[in-house]
Amino acid sequence: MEELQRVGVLYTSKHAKHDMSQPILALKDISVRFNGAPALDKISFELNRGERVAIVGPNGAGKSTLFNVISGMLHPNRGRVDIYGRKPGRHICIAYVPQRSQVDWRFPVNVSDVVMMGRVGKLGLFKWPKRKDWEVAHQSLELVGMDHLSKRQIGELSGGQQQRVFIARALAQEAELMLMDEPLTGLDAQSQESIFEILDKLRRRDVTILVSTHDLNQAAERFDRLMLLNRQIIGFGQADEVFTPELLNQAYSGQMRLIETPAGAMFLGDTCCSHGER
Amino acid sequence: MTDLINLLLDPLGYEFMVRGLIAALMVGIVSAVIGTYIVLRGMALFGNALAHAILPGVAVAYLLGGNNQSWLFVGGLTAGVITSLGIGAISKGNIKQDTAIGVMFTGMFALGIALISTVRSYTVDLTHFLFGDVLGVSNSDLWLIGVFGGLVILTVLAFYKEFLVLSFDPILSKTLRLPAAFLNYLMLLLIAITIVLSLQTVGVALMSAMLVTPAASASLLTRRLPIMMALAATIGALSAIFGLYLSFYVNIASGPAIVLVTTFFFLLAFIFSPSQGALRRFLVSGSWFQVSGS
Repeated sequence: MEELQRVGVLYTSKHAKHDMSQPILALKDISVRFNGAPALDKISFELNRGERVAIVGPNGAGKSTLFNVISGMLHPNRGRVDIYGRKPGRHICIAYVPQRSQVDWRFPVNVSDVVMMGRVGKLGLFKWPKRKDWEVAHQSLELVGMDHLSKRQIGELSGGQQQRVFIARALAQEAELMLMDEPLTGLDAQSQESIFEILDKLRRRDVTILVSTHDLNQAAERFDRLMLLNRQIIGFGQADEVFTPELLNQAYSGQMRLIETPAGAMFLGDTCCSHGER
Repeated sequence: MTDLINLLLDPLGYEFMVRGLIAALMVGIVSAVIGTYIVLRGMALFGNALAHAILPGVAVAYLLGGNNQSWLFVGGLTAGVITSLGIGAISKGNIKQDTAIGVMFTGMFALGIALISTVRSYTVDLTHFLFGDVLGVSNSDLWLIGVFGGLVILTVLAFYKEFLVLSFDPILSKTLRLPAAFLNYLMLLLIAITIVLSLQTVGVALMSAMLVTPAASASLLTRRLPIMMALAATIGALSAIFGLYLSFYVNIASGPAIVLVTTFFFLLAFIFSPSQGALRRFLVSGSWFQVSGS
């Protein structure tokens, strides 16, 4: 039935309206179980428009599951997700920027093909891209500094460039909420910096960004708020409220070591992470 | 020069050769176009299984209606759809998809052979279904292939961008709220139709070559999807033509001849592709095969 509705939406291009008085994202009491084992447990939080939030937590903490619930790919066993006060089912304003390891880089498409895929939801069935769509795609590529490589096959790009192409695709989608699954993993310092420059530009456009990361320092320094996740929300707020020895120990118990030194408590090693979690 | 022209024109003096050529040409193009998606989505195993699994449907139609093409078409298509749904249902449980494919395909194939073996002229009929009988194509067969082959191509064009998103990034198809399940079933239906149309040209046993090999060759020659589709269609068409001439002059069965030519094209692309060929790799790196994955 939902499937039929989607076919209908494709014909009519009727996507959900926004109630701007509501928060862009609100989760209430979300629980997800896989084969009986809890993956997410009573998750509730709200995001404000234009905010930049990092999710940190050990492997298997449920970061990817949380993204899947928010984007509407996975139905939670309990609780509800609201995007501007409505269910996510018919919103196309949420973009998911995949981990680079999830993408088939040998696929026969070039950079502008990938960005144009972001327009498919707005275009509707049986319609080809018009001048406006090409303009949006071009501007998106310009914003991430990739317009000069628009004819390049995606497999020929560097890791940072690949990441930027997928951010451009999310922009072409006119996404207001971007979910980024470890966008910084495996990038060199310079490429990471260029990603942060793009995130700053997105903030000026009021794009809300939720990023999963394993770099606690970066999370503390470059994001407005932090979520410490391990199936439950262990902590959510500013870095000094969340990165306390008690909370970190609670989130990473077993995977991280707390050492008392004369200079204070020291944390050693998030045991991670090139493969991501599925 | 006149020798060459005669060489090309002589077979066309036979009506069955002309009909066979037109049929093989259409089938070559349609299966190469839909085969592009099969290659890109890693569904080669599924395509091969589906081709074998239409046999019981074809057999039932044959037992009831003889060589009536529309019966064979409907029968084959029904078996194809049942198999697709069956594989989907089995692999939803604790069985992996390739295992589900293995179980369904051999089971359906055995049922098909069992049904056909109840007829006395068993071996001849079975050979036609297994390896094709392109020279036995009738005018009404040509119409059937033309109309439904055209429908398949039109549908691929109409859903081009949706199929592209679905193949490249299934998660994007969900966040864009595309009807992913509908599109998936539509593509399976197009594959099933194409397979049933190809029944007479190459038969169920060799069908996956028509689906996979031209597209695989094309993927070695270009990095753009529309060009890959056009190249695959061209390779499929050329294989059909050269294969039939080969079969005419060397006096070998037509289905295998077509498949051998398309395999030859693949080898050429594999060795000589300017961008991805083995020869270039050898000249550049001194090794015939790529060591790293990307």
